[in-house]
Amino acid sequence: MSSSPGRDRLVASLKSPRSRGQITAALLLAVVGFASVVQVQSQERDNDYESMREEDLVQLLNSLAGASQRAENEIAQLEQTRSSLRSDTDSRRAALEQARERATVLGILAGTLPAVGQGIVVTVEDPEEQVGIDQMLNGIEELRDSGAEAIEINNTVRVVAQTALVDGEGGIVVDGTQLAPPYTLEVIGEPHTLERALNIYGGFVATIERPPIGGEVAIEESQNIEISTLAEPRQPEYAEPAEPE
Amino acid sequence: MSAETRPETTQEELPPQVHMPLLDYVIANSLDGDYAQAAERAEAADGGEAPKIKPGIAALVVMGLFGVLVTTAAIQTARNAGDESAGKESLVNQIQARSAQVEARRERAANLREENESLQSLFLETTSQGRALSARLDRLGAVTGALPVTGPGVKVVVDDAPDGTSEKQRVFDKDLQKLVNALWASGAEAISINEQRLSNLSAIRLAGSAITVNYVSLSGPYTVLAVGDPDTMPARFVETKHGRDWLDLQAFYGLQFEMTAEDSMTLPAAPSRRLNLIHATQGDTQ
Amino acid sequence: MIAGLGLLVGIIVGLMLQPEVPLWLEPYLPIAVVAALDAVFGALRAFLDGIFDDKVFVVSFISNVLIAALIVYLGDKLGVGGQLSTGVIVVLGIRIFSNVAAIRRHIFHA
Repeated sequence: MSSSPGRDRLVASLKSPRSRGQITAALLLAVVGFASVVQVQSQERDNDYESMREEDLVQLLNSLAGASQRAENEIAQLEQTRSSLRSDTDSRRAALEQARERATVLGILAGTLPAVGQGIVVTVEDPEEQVGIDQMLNGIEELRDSGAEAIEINNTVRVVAQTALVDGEGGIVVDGTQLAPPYTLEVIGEPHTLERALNIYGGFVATIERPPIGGEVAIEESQNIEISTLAEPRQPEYAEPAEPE
Repeated sequence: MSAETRPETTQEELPPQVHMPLLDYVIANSLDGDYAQAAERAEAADGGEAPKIKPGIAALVVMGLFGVLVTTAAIQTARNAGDESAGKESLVNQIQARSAQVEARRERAANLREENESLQSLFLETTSQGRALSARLDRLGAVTGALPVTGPGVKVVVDDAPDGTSEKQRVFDKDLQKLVNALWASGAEAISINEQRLSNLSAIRLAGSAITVNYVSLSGPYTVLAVGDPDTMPARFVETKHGRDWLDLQAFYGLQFEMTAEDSMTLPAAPSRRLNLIHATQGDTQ
Repeated sequence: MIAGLGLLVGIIVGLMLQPEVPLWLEPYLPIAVVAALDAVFGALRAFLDGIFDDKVFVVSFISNVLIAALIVYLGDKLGVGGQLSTGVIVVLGIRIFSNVAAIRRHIFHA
């Protein structure tokens, strides 16, 4: 058996495309094709709500209402998270700001930061080289007592809590640095108060200017004292912050 | 009834719907069989005459009824469509409004999620900055007296001469100043006198007849705690001038002096007012 | 044709009266129309075949409409109203197609 009769017919029709039957079929198929395309396109257009039945529309509306509600819930949750994040961040930022300010204050006290402010400049002339650590120590204590917040000596030494004065061969040694007269103390604090304290009866100025020391003290008030000498940052070896009780 | 006398039904006598497929049967019987039967009867009754094929009054009435029925159904459908389309139109409007709402809400949720993410990373950054700062504050606090500290060191207890008569047999502020200075020079890292921690703003002064430290009045005996190396501090102490001054005070005026090494001492923090700056602010770093 | 006249009269009457269909009757209206359509086309075919009969037309019309409505009503009560109505429409539809094809053969000899 060779090829099937049906296939023969198909092949024959492809070879001679102009019989009346074929043209009629072609016209009808064109109509069918046109109608199909129109239908498919109308399905895809946005306003296909036309073709949906009322109950389908109601169902769609309900599911949209549900989706809207869920989105609203999610928004409420996200807003809550946001407000707590904001307040947490704000409080942390505030704490951070406070901590930074504290670090600045402690840095100035520890001598690791330069300081500026109003105060006085004390110049001690010591022609006989009689000024010793007793007098200098007393002077520093007087200054602290009257509100000195930062003290710099001879632009080379920064006075801090641990500052120690010892006798050296050339004179006063402060925190391991040999100092020679004249001694210049730059002090930040309230200028009048500082000056008055040094000048009290039997105080620093009196002791220096009397015999046996026979020196001279000049005090100059200033609105802008700049203390730029820094102390060596100390890393305590024996002292540890204690646990709070 | 015996088996032989039961009438045998043959294939031809069975009604057609028994053996014909359903659709074929429906199509074949789409014209009421009554018409054929009525035509046969009429032919039999009239003896071969042409059957009455003209539609009569009854047919007319039925067609009228049919017309009314179809028209009514058409009108009803038109009415319903009107209502329905109005209802549908409002539904469609609602659907479009809801869709827009869902879209808007989803967008807002996405924005919020983004915002929260950046807030979260900001928060974490702040936290890590905070930690770094906290470590720095710990170190500065121990050194400046802002934090209480513990550690080994020496304890020095001084007091007036027990049965002193002259003024010189009392402990003066200058004496305590020298004691503290000698301890700093011996390597002390933190010092307190009678629970008053010394900061850079602390002064040892005499107010009337009482010694004040941090503006707090103290009375003897004076317990001075100095945190440092307990092994080397005593030796270094006597090498300083002020340390030796105290030995003289002891020897010549009878002031009481006792230094002991300690394994562990706790020093309180300085009062907060002794850690406040009013005039000094941070200068420029060069 | 008188029958056509009857149809015209019926349509006019229907348009003029515009009767309100009660709500409980509304679902059965479409089925009734299709059943009536089947009876009408059956009558037309019988007429063209030469075997038309008045009585048969009346009986088939009324019974078609009533039976179709009854089947759907029963289906609603049983809970399978939609499916039964589909079945009835399918059968009526096939019959209508078949009768119309026969009518077409008569008219167009195609």
